[in-house]
Amino acid sequence: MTNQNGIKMLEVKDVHAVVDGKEILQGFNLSVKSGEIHAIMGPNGSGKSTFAHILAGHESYEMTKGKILFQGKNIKTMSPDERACRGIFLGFQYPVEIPGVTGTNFLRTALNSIRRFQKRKELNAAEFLKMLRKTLDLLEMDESLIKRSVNTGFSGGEKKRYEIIQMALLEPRLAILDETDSGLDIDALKLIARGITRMRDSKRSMILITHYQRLLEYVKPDRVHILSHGKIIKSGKMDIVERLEKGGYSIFKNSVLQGPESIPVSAK
Amino acid sequence: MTLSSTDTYRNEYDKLGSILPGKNLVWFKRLRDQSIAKFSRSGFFDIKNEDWHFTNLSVLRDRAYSSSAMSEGTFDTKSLKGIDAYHLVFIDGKFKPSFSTTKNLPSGVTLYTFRDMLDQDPDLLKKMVNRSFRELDHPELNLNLALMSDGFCLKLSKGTKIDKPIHFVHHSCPRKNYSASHLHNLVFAEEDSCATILESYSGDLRKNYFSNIVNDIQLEPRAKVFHYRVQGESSEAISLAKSLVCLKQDSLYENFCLSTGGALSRNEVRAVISGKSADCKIAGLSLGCKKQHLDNSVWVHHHDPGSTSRQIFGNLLTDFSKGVFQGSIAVDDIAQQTNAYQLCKNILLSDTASAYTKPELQINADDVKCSHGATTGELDPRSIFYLCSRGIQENDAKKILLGAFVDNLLKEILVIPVREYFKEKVRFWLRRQIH
Repeated sequence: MTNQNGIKMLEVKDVHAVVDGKEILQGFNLSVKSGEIHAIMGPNGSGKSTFAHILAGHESYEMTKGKILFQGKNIKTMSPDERACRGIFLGFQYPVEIPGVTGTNFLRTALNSIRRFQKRKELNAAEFLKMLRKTLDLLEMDESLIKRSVNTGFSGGEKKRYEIIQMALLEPRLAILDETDSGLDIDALKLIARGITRMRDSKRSMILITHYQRLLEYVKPDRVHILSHGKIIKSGKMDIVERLEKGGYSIFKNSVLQGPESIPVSAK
Repeated sequence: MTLSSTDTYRNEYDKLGSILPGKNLVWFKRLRDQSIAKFSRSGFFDIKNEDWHFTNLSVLRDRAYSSSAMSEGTFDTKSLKGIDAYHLVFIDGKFKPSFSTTKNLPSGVTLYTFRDMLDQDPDLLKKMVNRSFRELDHPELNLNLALMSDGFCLKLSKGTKIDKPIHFVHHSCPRKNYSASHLHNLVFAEEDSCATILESYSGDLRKNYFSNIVNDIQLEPRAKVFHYRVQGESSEAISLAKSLVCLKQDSLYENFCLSTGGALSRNEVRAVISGKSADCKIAGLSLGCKKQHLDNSVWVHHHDPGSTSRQIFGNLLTDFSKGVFQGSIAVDDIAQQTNAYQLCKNILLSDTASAYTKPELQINADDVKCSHGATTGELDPRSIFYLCSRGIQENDAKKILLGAFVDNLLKEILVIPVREYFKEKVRFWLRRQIH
């Protein structure tokens, strides 16, 4: 049974997925418990973003086999907005610029849409602003981004910061942050890491998709997975990250899903 | 043998000659006679005419629309409540003083119906008629001149400013289908005067009629005219509107047309800039559904140096609707330092909607800044997914994106109460179309 004792947040079982006729995920397995932070690392083209988009329900990514259970529910037929309303949040690698739509309008519509789904009272403009300020205080960020059109003309760092603001405001149960750390300078990275850390709690899970270990020095994950050619070839704790740092992805090439001791000694 | 529609109009003119207003004015009668003669020779243009390539008036050639129709149905005064203005209401081409609120106009404003003006002050009328477009030989203009039954004449004396818009309302509810109204409006803004003019056109549901409007507008030095149109005719109607504008030195003319009605409609604006440092802004938004055909055609001619013109249009098209934008900028050799800009953006909400855009620039001066752009596409799927991934339903996401698109266009409207009035109409359309 899934969701036993309410601890299973996400279960991904043997997922195969196709993009533009090409199979990118080839038997992806992952299990995330409530409160856990997982990191998924892997070289370019290994399927990290595909997994993120499959979870969020992007229509160009087709799941051809397997099952994804979110809080025990199969999400296959759920629309992207329903997934979001149930608590799945995707932090985009490339957030989309939407000229003419102000942050306040966008965020209030999103928040109220989710609250409506959850049968909670919708917020009026004043209540929303109060909540937004509280969120920004928590993240130690200011309102300047919110007043502008969504992502329009934002720098790379501002876009990533905006994703974290959205996550904090929408309070998802499961957040998948797709390379939220890429292209950031050290100060911006710390700001993002602080946001993630403050969002960490026992009822929320996060999946950090990243190329580098930098972010993981600030946000210590409970589990680390190495993704290669559409499947997880290695899972473990932070020590995997250290090995990766020294030897690069090639050291995991021959790995199968076993313990860290199976890493070829010669590759170290 | 059946008569062609052109012959039918000729016969109608011969028949109506004695009851059309201005019959006793020799010069006016001559204008009408000449106009019907010209129309009889040409008939309506077909698509071989460059200016009418995308808009086919075959429906007007196939059958004539008669002027002598009686009204039926009633006018809902609710439509006047949306905006605080001096309302001037016409129903089926006839002035309705009982619905109108033009009693307390500020001093310096002369407002007549065309019919009254012909009776009471024909000399002023003669002075107000625009000379700049005398050579224009357009069939629909000739037909309007021959058969015009009424309209309004607005004269602003030097320095006069009107506190709220003059709202010209025309509602069509003819008893019989295939009836026509030919209205002719004159605006003469003297030096330093300023006015906002709003035109609203509506009609009873599914009535098939032909509305043929001509606006003749002159701006003297430093005058400002803000001119807005709401084309909300019945879904079966044919609507042709032509605004002929002449701008003198340092004057400002702003035009915005919101088109949502009609089976076939054309909003045509021709502006001649003959004076230095004038500013001419012409914009519009067409919202099309079903099989509507919505055409915006604009000609701006820079005769004198240092002036600015701007054409900004947008079409939002769904079902089988068609949007047309033809934008022409002509710059004479002496019109140096002209700054002219043109942009048309189309959003197609269905695979079967289509948009035609034709920019035309004739630049004969070398020190000018003229540019144009056009885009056509669907709503960006990446933006839709981004919004949906935040819990917003797909249709709400589309509404947000379309709202941003139309708001961006409505920003062209400088008079805020009018902008809000238009925004409400656009929101209504969006609510109805996107669900």
